[in-house]
Amino acid sequence: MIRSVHYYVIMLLAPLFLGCSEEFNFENETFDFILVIDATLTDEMKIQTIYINRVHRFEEDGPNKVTGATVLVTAGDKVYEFKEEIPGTYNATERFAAQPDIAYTLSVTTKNGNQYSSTPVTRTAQTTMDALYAKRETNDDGIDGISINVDSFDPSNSSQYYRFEFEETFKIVAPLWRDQDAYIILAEECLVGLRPRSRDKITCYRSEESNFVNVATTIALNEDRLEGELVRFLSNQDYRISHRYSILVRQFVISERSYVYWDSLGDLIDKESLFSQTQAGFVAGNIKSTSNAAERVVGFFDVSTVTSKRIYFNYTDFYPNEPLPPYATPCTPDSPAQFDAGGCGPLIPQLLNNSSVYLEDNIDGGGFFNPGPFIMVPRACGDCTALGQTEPPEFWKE
Amino acid sequence: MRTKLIIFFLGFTCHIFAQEISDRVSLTTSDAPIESVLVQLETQTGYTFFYVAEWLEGLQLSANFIDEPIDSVLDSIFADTVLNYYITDDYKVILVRNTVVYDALPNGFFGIADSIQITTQQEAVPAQAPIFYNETRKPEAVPLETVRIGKENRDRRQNRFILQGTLVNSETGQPLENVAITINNSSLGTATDEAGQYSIELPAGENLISANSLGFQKVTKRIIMYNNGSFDFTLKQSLEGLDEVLLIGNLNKNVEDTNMGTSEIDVAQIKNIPLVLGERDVFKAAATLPGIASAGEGASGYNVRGGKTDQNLILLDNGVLYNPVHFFGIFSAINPFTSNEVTVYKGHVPAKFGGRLSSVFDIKTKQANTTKFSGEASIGPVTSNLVLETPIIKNKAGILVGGRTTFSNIILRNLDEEELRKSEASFYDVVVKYNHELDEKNKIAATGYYSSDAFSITSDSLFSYNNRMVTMQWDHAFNENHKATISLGNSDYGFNLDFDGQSNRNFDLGYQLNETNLKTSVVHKLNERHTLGYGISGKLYRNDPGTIAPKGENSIVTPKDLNRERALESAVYVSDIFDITERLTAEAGLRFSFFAALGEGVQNIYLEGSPRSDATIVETRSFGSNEVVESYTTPEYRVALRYLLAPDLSVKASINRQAQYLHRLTTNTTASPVDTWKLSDINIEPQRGVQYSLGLFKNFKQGMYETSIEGYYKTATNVLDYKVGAEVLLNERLEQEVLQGEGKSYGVEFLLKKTKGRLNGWVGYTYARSFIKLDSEFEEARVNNGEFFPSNFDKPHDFSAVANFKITKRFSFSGNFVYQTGRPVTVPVGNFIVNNTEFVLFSDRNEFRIPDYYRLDLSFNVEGNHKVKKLAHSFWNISVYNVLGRNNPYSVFFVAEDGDVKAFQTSIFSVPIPTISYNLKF
Repeated sequence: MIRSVHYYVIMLLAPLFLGCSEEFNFENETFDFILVIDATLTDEMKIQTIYINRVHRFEEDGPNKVTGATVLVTAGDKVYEFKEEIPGTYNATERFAAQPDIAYTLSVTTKNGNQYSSTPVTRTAQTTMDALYAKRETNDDGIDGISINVDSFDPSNSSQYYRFEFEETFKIVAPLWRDQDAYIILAEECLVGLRPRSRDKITCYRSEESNFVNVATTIALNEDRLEGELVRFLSNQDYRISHRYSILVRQFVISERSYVYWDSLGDLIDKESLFSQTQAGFVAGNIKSTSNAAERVVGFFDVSTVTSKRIYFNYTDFYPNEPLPPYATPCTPDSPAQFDAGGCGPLIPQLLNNSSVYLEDNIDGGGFFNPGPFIMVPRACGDCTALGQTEPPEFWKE
Repeated sequence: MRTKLIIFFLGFTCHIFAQEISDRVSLTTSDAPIESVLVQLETQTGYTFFYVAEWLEGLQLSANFIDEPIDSVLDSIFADTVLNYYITDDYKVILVRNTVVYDALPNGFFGIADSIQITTQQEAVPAQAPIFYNETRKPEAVPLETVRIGKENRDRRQNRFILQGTLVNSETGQPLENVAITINNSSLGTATDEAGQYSIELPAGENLISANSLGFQKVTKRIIMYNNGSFDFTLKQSLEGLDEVLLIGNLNKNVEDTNMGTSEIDVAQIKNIPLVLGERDVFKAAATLPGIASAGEGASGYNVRGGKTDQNLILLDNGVLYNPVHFFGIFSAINPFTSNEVTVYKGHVPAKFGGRLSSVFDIKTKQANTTKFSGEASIGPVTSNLVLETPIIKNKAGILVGGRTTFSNIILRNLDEEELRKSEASFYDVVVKYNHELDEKNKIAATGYYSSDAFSITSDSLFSYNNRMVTMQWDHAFNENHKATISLGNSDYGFNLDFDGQSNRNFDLGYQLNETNLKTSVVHKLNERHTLGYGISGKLYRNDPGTIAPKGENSIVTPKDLNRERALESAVYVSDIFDITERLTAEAGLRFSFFAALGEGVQNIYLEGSPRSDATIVETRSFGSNEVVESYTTPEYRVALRYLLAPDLSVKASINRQAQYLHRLTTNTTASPVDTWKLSDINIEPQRGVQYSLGLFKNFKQGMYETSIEGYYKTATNVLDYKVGAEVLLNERLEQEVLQGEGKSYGVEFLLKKTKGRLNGWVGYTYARSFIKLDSEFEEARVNNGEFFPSNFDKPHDFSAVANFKITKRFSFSGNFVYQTGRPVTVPVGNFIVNNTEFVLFSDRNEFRIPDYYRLDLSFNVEGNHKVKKLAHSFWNISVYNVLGRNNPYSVFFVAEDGDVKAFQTSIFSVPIPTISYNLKF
């Protein structure tokens, strides 16, 4: 609440001066490719993975992968080696689970010989997730939707700090699937025809991973209990919940330091307060350069316990007899011309790059200007493989 | 010569009539006052007369002229008086008393003026002698005594004579050593020796000679040299001592004052600085001086010598003002018409002041006029100002009422657009002062002040803030050397945000700070070498850190009411202004301040040796009403030394320690209207600082040019700053968000000021740095690796120039140029992905700087004509603010757009802003 009030204050004052805002550039010619270490070991017996990247510029899409680094985790006498599987991704050479009461230390040596090391970290306490459930409610912004909540309790009062991740999987049904597809017979002559469309393109499955920070603490409470902790909210206008929806929530028990780190990072990217009056700055983690004390390193080496639960629900469980949310993309029909002055019309490139699909024949022109032979819709509307895959994932239950 | 005479001073009456000029006069009078005769002559001939009205008092004329030439008429009019006249080529008649005006030099410098000589002894006046000098500026000044030296010897065509004599203390009869003898308007000067004797060669004719020594009243004589001779001065001890009294034309005051790092702003002179939207502004004027930097355009707050905006104590008649700005800082809320003078202490702060680390802005309201009804008014495009003064008891008591307001609401009400018509944008301030001289020994005064701002933010949301202050003061003189002042005051600052939007998050948010203070101060001049000052003060704070309440039935805002904070801040001080030798003066003071945070309240106690977080709270301690939560004491020493190397050259040094017990919370670099204050408590300690400074002060050409160079080095402890991600508004556990670190700043300030002449003004340059260090054994409480980094207001280069050029008495140009290095900011520099989440990477704290700030303003003043008899004096001001149209950033913000982060700057005045305002004084 504090945050949102502050946000309003800033937002409200902003329009006073908006007329005079202009873009400008900070001279940032020497971009500092700071090392980013994404390392969370868990108590699951598995091949543990550590990701090593570098910071990327705003205009770049993704991380700059770091190859050729030497990655080691020391746990008492034991040293676990991590090998580069694909660029930037380093997998442990053996399966192991993080054990309690052992100090784990991460060390990384990059190709150019720079060395980095974490402070020793001990694994956090174990807590099971008691319940994961979905309920229909109106959130703080007055939006009706489905909230996904977690209940958890640690009677020993030793967990206290939590971080949540989730992976959601949902069924997609293409609303305008037809049994015929338009295709190009001869591109040079702009010749098109119709052929059968696979039924596989009616129903698909899509998975997405959480992409925001979600931490919680029970420190201000009388007991170490999370009740109805919100991990995900889906508006009733969200196409993800249109049919059947499943979510896997992973609950990490983290250290206090780790909580402070993620919470600070979260404050800074919180869309509401990102560029407001919140004190901005670099957030230091627990990894340092051992070869150059002034060098900054991003990332926090976590050794956590994790528990997870999965639930399923259908749209009709919460919204019986109510219209579906709008589809993922608007399905506006069009009738692109087959021929244009001196050549092929837009229909041909649309079919070539598979951006629209056949809906029906355009018999009377349909009121379109310079109409083509077919009424077409965006691909996702008639072919769900534009959004997901045909086969349900292994865990999927109807 | 003529132009010199025509640029007369205000004490002269003038009548200007534009009409045909005639040299012949026909006039019949019988016992008519000469002044009325002159008026008739003006009407008839078109000649204009210049004179001092009192010369003509009681003079009458009975005569009959028929078509006589004007000079013979004048000869007979002035035949029986001590007055002479001189007629200029452009039909002006200048009357002089006793003397004759010559129109040629040096021919006939001595000896010819017998034809129209009235008095028995001829007094020759060199044409450039400023006979009327200073009369306008110090109307209360006693007329100068004229002394004639030697007997005129017509045969000796000597131009220079020797004057010698002795200077003695009028009370003790002791000869005075090292007293500066200066000759106004010349570079001549000398000083007395051990026996108090002096000798100086002076030009023949009139000389204005001043004997000037610290601790003595300045004595000025008009000495007319006819030959070698002697003259002895007796000097009276001055009660003013080193007190901060602004006397314009007080030669070498800047050099002689023990206080360094003191800037005085003569509010009346501010009109010569170009205005923003027609508003004179004492703070903006202050910011043109070295060492005082505005936090940003349109931002409230000033950074004095690298200090934070909350480290300035702003006093209006001894009462504290917390946020005296309008419209988020574009205008100051100090009415320039009611303010007399502003003294800014940025270096040595006398022991009678305390409570802030960086500076004291001591603003004094004018004394209400106790002799006649008077007033001043201005009309500008944004605001209008009216000040009225009236005697209550003639020569004893008077009241002054001043008010300013804006027309913007009226403009908004008349707009067509519904949305705008409903909106609100208004501010006003009112000041009332009553002063009453009960008897010779007792004076009382009271000042009331209120300023208020209200703005619509959305059509139904209102943001408002206000300052309220009342002070009462009683001055009592036990005797001439022993005076006491008692003052009682109450100050209040608060803001309110009444948010009524479309969503269910409507709220009403409020903040309020109140202080009541009582102080006494005594000045006791023990003897000619010691002036003792002592006093005691007490302040009671009441701080309501914030409340939020849901507004409307649908609002889901959780109500919150942070616990009230209370505290007592008191101090005792003693100081001595000690003239160790004639050249060396010290001002040594000790202030002992005491602060106690009082209950009732709740304090979190954190585990020793751990970072502060909810996890490390070991105890939540409750305190009963008036129970002492925590107390702090600070011995504050204030020492300043001044050594006079020459009458116009001095070196000064000072060392000062100060403490500050309350803190303004702002994570923004500029002060923002939603900033709240925090009193020190168990977890947040007072800020303390020490400043060392050294300066050299030199005047040239009789004070026409003042120059100074000052250097300072400051350290501070427990300077408040914030953790990354800190939120300070409505935060109950603020101590977890703030960091207290070490501050360090240093700088060199240069000032060159031309105080007189057609072209006057000043040029100031400051090189200054300001750093802060936030170190801790805990990573989250460490910033930039725990090393010193530039603070939010580290602006190494700061240059400003103010110039005023008088084209004629009525027309003047002024200009103002400011340059500042852009302040440091923390900026997003890139992205990184961890845990499948894309984060923004920020630079180190304050690693980058916003673009430099510069601005040129010009203005043109037209004064009304100078007829004294007309009802009012007026002037027009036409000014252009930001002539270069520089887009100076007010703030910088970042917007994430299509995966890219763009930096934007907002500016308030990105184009030249012309304004015209009309001022009227009556």
